[in-house]
Amino acid sequence: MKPKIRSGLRRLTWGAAGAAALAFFLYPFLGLLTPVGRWQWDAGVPGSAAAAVRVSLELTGLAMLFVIAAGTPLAWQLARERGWRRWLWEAPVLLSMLLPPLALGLLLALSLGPSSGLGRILLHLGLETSNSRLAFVLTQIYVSLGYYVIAARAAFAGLDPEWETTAALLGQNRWQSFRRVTLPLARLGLAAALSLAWVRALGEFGAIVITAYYPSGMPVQLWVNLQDSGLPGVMPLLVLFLLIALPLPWAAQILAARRAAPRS
Amino acid sequence: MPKKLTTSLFVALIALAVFDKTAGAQRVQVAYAGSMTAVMNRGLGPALRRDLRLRLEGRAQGAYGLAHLIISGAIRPDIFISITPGPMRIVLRAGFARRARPIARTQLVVAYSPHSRFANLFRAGTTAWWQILEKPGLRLGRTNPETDPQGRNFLLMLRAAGRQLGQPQLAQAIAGKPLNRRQIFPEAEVMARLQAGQLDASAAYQTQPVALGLPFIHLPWPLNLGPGSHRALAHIRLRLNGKNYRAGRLVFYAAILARAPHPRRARKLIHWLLRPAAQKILRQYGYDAAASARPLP
Repeated sequence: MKPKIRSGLRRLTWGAAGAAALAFFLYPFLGLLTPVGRWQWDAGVPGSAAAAVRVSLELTGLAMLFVIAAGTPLAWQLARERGWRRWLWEAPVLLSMLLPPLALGLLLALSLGPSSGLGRILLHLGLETSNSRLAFVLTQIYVSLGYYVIAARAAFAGLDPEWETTAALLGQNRWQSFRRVTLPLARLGLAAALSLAWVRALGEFGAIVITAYYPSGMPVQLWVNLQDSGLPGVMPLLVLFLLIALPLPWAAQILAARRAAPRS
Repeated sequence: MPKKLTTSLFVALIALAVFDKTAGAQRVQVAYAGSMTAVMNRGLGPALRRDLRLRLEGRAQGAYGLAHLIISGAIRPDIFISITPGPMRIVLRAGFARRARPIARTQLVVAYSPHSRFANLFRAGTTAWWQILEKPGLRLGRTNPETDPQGRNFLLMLRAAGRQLGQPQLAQAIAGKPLNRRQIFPEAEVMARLQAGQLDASAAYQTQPVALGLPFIHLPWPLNLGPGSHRALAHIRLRLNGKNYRAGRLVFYAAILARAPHPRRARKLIHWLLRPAAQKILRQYGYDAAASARPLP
């Protein structure tokens, strides 16, 4: 009887601690109830909120394709490296994550912008690297790639290398064993990595406000609305942002979990 | 890496750039002081599209920050619009523009929250503005005098008022120390906090409360940094971090940048800004006529 009570008590304590943490997460949303005047659903600018949502979804989606394409092989490589070689591979990835976003935006603008050598060449080819969709996507890739790679590396590192060896023994080449064995096994972790990158890219403000004020995605539009019409212009966009940003990571997790589950 | 994926990603990147180009056929890029966001988005932007078929792409930030971004080459807009001569001089001195024309001006006012318990006092107009601001418990907001001209101008105005009213302690009583942490917020946040009722009153340019529909009171003309008051404030100094500051004229200056991607459109836009149609929109948003202000340099 006694140990039962003790374990019940322990569970209760943990539950209460967890609930307190959840309450902490939810508390700021009470701010939505502050009386700030009538919410302006479009801040007087026809379709600006809808345009911002479209820009964010389309371009972040595109950025994620590049993040997956560039990040997955790198993460796999990182998971295989050991010792100082791993540190060497990892350092540039961490570097991209350590800088404050504003500093990163300035560096990106200076190295890719119209005054830089590369920027000038690209401009000659008709590719604008400042205040353009290209600048938007490049910035998003840069800020989110590191998060994807680090999380995906953990997913790959958690796999038993024996699986790949076995696949090789069964006559699969490296690409086949990666595609047919490693990838499906790491799917859940990769989905988590992708949702992390997605949220990071979608919410990016500090760097994007420098490199791609236009086309305005949702975070920049929030900033514009705050300066334009104050809180009544910000609140509706905030709600929209929540409704749009959340479902995709959730869907990715659920889909991955379902696919990863063993078929009986 | 499968070739198909690489190729399709490359094609997507090119398509992105090309699509962008067609969409930006008639755009003109303007970097302007953050306080102009409302008139640009809701007033001038739509009118510009109608009158000149130009699509205004604005970048609203602090004018000093924009000036430094421009001369570092990090951004390359067609036009820069600053408030006060300071940020514009940075751009002019670096050779990034030759001439800046005054397009409008504004004045310093005290905005207040309609939710404030002092709102009736402001509205009644029977108590002097400085007496209300001195009331115990009044939560005053202002911007950082180290980085924002408005924050500096407000402190300079308080000092001038103290001198003119024969109350040397006025600035201290209302604002406390120049870097009083309880009063200092980013520009956009000051107005947001007024709307939410977290502040009772704040320093503001007249254009800000007008755009947001917030109530405000005028300051006496010798203090409001409008056309007549500059001389009265000229000898007042503010020393911060070893630098001496003086009050800047609250004039909006517009300049075409030397490396503008679209110089012809920029010229058209500046010309248009000075015409009655655009000036009428500026009046609607609380901007005063540039009147006697002279071009820079």
